[in-house]
Amino acid sequence: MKQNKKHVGIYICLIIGGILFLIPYIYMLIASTQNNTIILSKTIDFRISKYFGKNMKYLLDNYQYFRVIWNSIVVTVIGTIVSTFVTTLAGYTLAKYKFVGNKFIFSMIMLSRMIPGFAVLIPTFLIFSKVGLTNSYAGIILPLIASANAVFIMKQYADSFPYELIEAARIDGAKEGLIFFRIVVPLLKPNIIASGMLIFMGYWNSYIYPLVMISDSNKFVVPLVVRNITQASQDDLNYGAMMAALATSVLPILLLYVWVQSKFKSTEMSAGIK
Amino acid sequence: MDKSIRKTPYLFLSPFLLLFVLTILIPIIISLFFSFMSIQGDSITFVGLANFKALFRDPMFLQSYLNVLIIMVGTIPFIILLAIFFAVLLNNPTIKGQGFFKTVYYLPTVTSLVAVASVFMTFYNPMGIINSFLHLFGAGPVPWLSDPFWGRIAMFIVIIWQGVGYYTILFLGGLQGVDKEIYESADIDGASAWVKFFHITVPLLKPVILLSTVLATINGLNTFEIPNIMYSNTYGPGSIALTVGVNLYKTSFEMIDFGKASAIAWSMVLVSAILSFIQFKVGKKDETK
Repeated sequence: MKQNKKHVGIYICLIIGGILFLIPYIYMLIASTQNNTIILSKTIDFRISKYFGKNMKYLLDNYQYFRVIWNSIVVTVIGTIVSTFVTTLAGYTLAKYKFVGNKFIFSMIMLSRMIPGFAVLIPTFLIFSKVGLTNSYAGIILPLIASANAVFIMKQYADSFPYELIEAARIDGAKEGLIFFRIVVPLLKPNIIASGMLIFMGYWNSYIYPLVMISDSNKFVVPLVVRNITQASQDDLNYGAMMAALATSVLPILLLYVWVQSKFKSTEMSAGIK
Repeated sequence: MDKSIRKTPYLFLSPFLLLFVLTILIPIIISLFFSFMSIQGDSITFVGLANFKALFRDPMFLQSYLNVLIIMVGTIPFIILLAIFFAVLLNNPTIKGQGFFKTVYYLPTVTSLVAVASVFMTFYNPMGIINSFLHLFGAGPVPWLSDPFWGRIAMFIVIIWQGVGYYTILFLGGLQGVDKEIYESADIDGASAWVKFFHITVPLLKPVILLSTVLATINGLNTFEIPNIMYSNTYGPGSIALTVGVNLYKTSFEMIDFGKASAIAWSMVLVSAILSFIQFKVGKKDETK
């Protein structure tokens, strides 16, 4: 009985926490169907209204919204595939091969994690504008591929990979590339997906690189559109349209993230953290 | 080992290393180089430490560090305490829906900061739902985004909301490494929940608390998206939105002073290095105890 009472208290705290964390997402969804008059009224109105179509039309007319979503998808998908591949291969190699320079390379990667991204931003921008990579997909994909964080995560996972499996395959005469693709990748699949999902979210949410690299509105990604809406003067700021952009760009991706997480149960979110 | 196996690691590492060198290592070195240069258009001249000396006399630069310091002081204690609170609640195997709560709490970590900032910016509108809510109790309206004091509180709330989940999962990982028997023997001794918390949980979590504090401090130092979006690319009322990151962004991409901006970047590198060094030293001292 006492145990039960204690649990009620725990549940109440957890649920209040949950509501506080969920409100902004629920609000995005509801406010995407409202207009400024409802959003900025003296009362709290959490009812679905009828302005979603109008808000979407505003996004399409003013920001070529479908094109922007497409740009975000292209950048995220290409970036995620390339980055997940090279960082998995690097993490596995650093974990499972003895070679001259292994320790040195790993320390360089670790050291680079401590350097704020801002230190990389300016030279990257100047180099990219010299070689004509600004206003291109490559300009926002390239800077995020070599993720030190992802290599570190994949090395941690690969460290616990049984070395005997690799040895046995070598004795059977398997080539190193075959061992990686046929044995390591299938067995580390949940971990690769966990790391890949973080890379995926990183690309989808990336803001600072698109902000400095992209000025051509044909190449805009979603965060830039949201930013541009928020920068309108107070009278012109279309909150409903902004919420429609958020509801259609943030919520589906989060649902995808949660779905993938639940599908691969063994993926521990905290496992990659230091 | 035959020859092909000896070459394999270099081959496997080459795609990553090539990109790492080109897009991270070389830019870092160039930015260090730039911080000693004056860059006007295409002409680059060596000026030694002049950029750094100028920064220390630049009220904007000093204000930006003061601002991030205020942000850290106003957010990190709350983030850490709330994260420990939720982690302790979640670290109970008899709780149903643990996975659900973990997922919900973690959502802000993987949500775009631009999205977070713009939703809260709507909440903070003079006529937004927070003031409507306060109005129900006859309070407010609070000038969330136009008053320096409330503006800081507004930023704190967003940063805390966004940060708690990540550290909750971090602490939960720390708690799950704790031996259950310690608690059981404390129960036998009749220890109260508070005694158990302060005498068992907190000391055992010390390394995670240290790590979280350093991570949150480095995060605070890099604050950019939230003030930049919430205050529409301005410095905000009383310059409260002038963080080091905002200052760097505006110095480089609006004032086009890449030398000075690189010096700002390297001031951040130095501060981060000092913080990581402290974490390393304190962490080591703990281990040898």
